[in-house]
Amino acid sequence: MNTLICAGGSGTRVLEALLHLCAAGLGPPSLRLLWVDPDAANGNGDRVSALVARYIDLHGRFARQVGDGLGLFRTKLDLFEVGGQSEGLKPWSPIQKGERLRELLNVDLLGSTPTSPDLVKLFFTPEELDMDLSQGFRGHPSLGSAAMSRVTFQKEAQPWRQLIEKLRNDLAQDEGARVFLTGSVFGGTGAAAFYPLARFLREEATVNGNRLKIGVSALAPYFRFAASTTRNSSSGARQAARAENFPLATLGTVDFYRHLETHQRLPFDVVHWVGADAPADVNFAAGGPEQRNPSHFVELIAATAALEFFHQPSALVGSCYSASGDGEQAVLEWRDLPLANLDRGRVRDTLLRFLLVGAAHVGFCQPLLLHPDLPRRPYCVPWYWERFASKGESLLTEENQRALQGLEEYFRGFHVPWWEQLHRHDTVRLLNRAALTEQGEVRLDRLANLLWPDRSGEADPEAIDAFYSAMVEVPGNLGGEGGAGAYLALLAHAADRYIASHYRKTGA
Amino acid sequence: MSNLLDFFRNIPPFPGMNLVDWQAFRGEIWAWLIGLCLITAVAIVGLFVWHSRKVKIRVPQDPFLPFRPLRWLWLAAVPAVLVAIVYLARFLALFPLVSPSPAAGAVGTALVAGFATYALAQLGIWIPGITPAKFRYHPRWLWWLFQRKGA
Repeated sequence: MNTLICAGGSGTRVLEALLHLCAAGLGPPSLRLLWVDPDAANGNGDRVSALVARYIDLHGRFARQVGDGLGLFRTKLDLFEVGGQSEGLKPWSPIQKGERLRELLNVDLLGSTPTSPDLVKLFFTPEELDMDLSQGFRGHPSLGSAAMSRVTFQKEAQPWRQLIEKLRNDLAQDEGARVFLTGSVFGGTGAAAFYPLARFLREEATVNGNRLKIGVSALAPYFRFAASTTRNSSSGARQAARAENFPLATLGTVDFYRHLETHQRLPFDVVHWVGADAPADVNFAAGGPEQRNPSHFVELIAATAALEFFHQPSALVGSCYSASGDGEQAVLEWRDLPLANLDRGRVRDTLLRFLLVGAAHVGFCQPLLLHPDLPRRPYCVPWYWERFASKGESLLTEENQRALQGLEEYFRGFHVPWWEQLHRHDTVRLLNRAALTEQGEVRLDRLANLLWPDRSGEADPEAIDAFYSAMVEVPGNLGGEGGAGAYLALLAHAADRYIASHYRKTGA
Repeated sequence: MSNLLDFFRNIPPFPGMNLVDWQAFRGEIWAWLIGLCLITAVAIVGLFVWHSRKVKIRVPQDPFLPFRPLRWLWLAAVPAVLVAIVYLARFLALFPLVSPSPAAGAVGTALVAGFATYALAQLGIWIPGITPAKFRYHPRWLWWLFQRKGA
């Protein structure tokens, strides 16, 4: 069984990327999710929570119904109970709301113990001791580590009790348990979480501990705050994470892990180091709802690392890192995705197929299904007539429309914007940026040119015609079990045919 | 009304007409009728193939628009008109002294030519591969009506 623990803002964005890969059909059959973040209100977390809720809804509606091994939305998510709430993705935090480090470490009580209170001053400044930690550790991994180490005191509380029980059950099986941690090593939460959490899990895996595989994707600095947004002299801003400290924080983490490795105390089986040579500029936010960073290809790479780990946890061991191909400018093309087990062509085609499905559904098929003429003359749309109307089925029922509208909201509100943000960096050469709009749509005239590079001269206003024809030509024995699932399966099979006819022949 | 079927009688429909001349006339008109029907039906199917492949789906409204390539079926009227003209011309040339008008026979022949051409062209359109799959139910309005009544 697979467990993903994402820590901090970057960790949640890796989760976002992973969910999009799972939705496309690349994910494992099931995945447990644990989100560790003291800043529950950060904008990235809100987005991911909404995405998880949407994904779970679509998984329930489509995973079984699409059939045919397409794998769309097949990954079953298992969320932990956090803070007494079992619904939705909720972050676990080692600190209470409004809690300061001073209270966390019981500094004021140290005077009544043999330990001198002055000892704390060797490690933390007075400002750090009085910092409100409810918006995260703000780039102070030393604070985060101190807080995260308290996880051992909470092992009887949720979500840890639940996680440990499940891990122990997994370890009783031959397959064992796979835990993947992801987050940044240059901020506060992620950098602080890896080691304490992995060590804690190792300690709890008392029986068949060798069956516990722990992987990590450690994100090195891949964004920085735009200079104009950090000029703030408030106390909060002074305490906040500073982009200029990111490399130093990363170096500290690397040194620490090297130390652990040298002394054979590294609790991870594999560490994927992922970074970017040119960090992206983002607007500064100390935390909270304003911390809403655009997606980045580093998160995509970290997500593929997680997939590879879940797919074959022992394939890679030790430290792994990847660099882009030769050339003056570091770019990310499909061939640069650091895949060791997964088939590169399959990954590309699966993601392309899913994007085609979204493009066709949002841009054409859903409006077609809602067209007032369809109930009167369903035979005008052969695939609808043959697969649904002639069998007495309708995609306009409340249940089916709820599923199809959910699908539209997913593509329009999450999937396409995610790809679009990812391609705002000129160095990302996976999809054709010109085909994606900020409104969450794919330009239908670029349906045959969704992969990089852009061939602007080949924009074809009739491109949807070929896709529509492909839908009609999908053999009747291919498709789901009826309803919205059969419709989604039809779109996916049509996308496969479209890729075969329009992408293979161009060698794309 | 019964005069519409004059052409299809083996014996001359009017007194004073020579049997051999009548049979020669019928043979000639049959040749025109069959030839024009076949040529026109093939032309209709060819034009349909060309036109139907030019029709593209661009927006959700498009599948519901009238399927214009079917309008080439109106060309079935051409052999009808031509056969009627040939009928009249040849009848008057071969039987100038016959008093009843040949118009009814010409109309009957034209109707047969028109219907035969339409039927042939429609059958041709139904051959698999002629109609693009995305429009496969458009030319089948007769079939569709049949399905509806049978349902």
